[in-house]
Amino acid sequence: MVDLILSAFSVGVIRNAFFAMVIGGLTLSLLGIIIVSLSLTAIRFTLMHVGLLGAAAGLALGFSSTLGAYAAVLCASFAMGFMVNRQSITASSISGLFMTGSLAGAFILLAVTGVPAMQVFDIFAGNILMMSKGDLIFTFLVGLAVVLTFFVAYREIQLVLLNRELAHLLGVPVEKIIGLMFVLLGLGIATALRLVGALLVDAIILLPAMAALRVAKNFGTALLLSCLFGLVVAVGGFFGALLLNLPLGSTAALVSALILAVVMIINRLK
Amino acid sequence: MGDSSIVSLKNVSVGYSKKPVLNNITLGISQGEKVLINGSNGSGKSTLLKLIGGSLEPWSGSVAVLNTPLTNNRYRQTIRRHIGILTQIQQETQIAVSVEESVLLGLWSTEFSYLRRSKREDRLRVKNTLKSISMDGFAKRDIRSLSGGQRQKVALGRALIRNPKLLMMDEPTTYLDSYAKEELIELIDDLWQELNFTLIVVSHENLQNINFNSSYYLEGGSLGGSD
Repeated sequence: MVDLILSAFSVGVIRNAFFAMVIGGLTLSLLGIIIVSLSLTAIRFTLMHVGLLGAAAGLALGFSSTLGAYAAVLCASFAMGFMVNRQSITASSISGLFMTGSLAGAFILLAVTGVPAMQVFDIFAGNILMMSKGDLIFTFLVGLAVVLTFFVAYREIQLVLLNRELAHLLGVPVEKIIGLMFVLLGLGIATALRLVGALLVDAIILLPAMAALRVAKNFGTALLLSCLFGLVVAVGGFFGALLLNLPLGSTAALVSALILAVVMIINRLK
Repeated sequence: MGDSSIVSLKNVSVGYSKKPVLNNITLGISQGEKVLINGSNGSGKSTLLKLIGGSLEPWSGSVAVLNTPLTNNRYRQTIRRHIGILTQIQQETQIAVSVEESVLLGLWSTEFSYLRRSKREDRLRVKNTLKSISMDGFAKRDIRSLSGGQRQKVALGRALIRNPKLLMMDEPTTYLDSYAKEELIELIDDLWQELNFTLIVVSHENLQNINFNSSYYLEGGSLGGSD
């Protein structure tokens, strides 16, 4: 087993994949706290679909699918953040509008341009072994941005998540913070798309946070546990996939679901 | 409206997206007064609190709080430090926050800074505040595990930790059962006598158990007095 691990780590792309998973697991799960606390589950699902459209556009038009996903998700998160802040339209209406439109657009683009099925599969399941050093650095920067935001605006984020109206009355720049959260969410989802694929983004972003929020009794612990569970998902998923010769994204998703299930059972037994 | 006015609104009109909510309101509240502003939903009660709290600028007229005219952002920031706010109870809180953390958040925008001030001093303030609202022993509890009445007491603690000169409450008793309502009202009354802050309560309920110095009625954007 050790030989297998050592020989795998002697390959550059495997090392990149491992570090990307660790960084993603440790940092992106913090965004799940935002999703749960602000009830943005529909919006994160929408951003995943918008990412699909961007990736499909990248493939269809002959540029990077990753770049396409980032561009599309960022644009959508800006737009959705603006609309939610202005309260010009409800979050569920925004989701419906963007999600259906994006998915339809992605399928039409892929069908019309005849993108090979394997490339389409990569968007859905992720292709972490194609991750370059540049991608790894970008993943690190996104993770760093998420952690720094939580560190610097710890109290402000806490206030906005706890009571948006009170935060506004106290003078917290609520709209700016929510806008920033949407942008980070977009970046995080686009990054997770690359790591585990469009269908399994929740494994690395949402489920660790949901498990953490069920166990934690304060905000700091919720953040730390979310990172810890995210790390377990990343490392467990990576080594599980390597040792059992399974797809990485699905293995990580399984670990994530197991953590949440165990936490739910323990909570129920208490 | 003399010099003792802690809140002074003169001919104030305001609204949202060109739709007027309050029309030509004039109101004066003196230091240490307990004031009730009644009104149905959508009558502009919360808008009035936003004006006084400096998070909304009037279209016309003038607003002065603690003898400071709210004419620019710097003044608004300054007076916010002396105002405590209690909002309507949050029904579904998803976020994990301990009682201690929740009360501590009330220090936001005052001299408090997470990175600058000693945590020990902060904890001491929280401890004293929790004692004053009879919630000592609850510091480490997750607010999601508390009853509605307890959560609202914690929210009161969050407003009081700022040592406010002016305490504003927006529908403080909505969604509380009659026992919790009575307990909260009694606590507010006791703390008002002890701490000598000025209290403004906006509510669609009558709150007869509180002995208000003045009460007003908001309807159709206009304020009617009933001292």
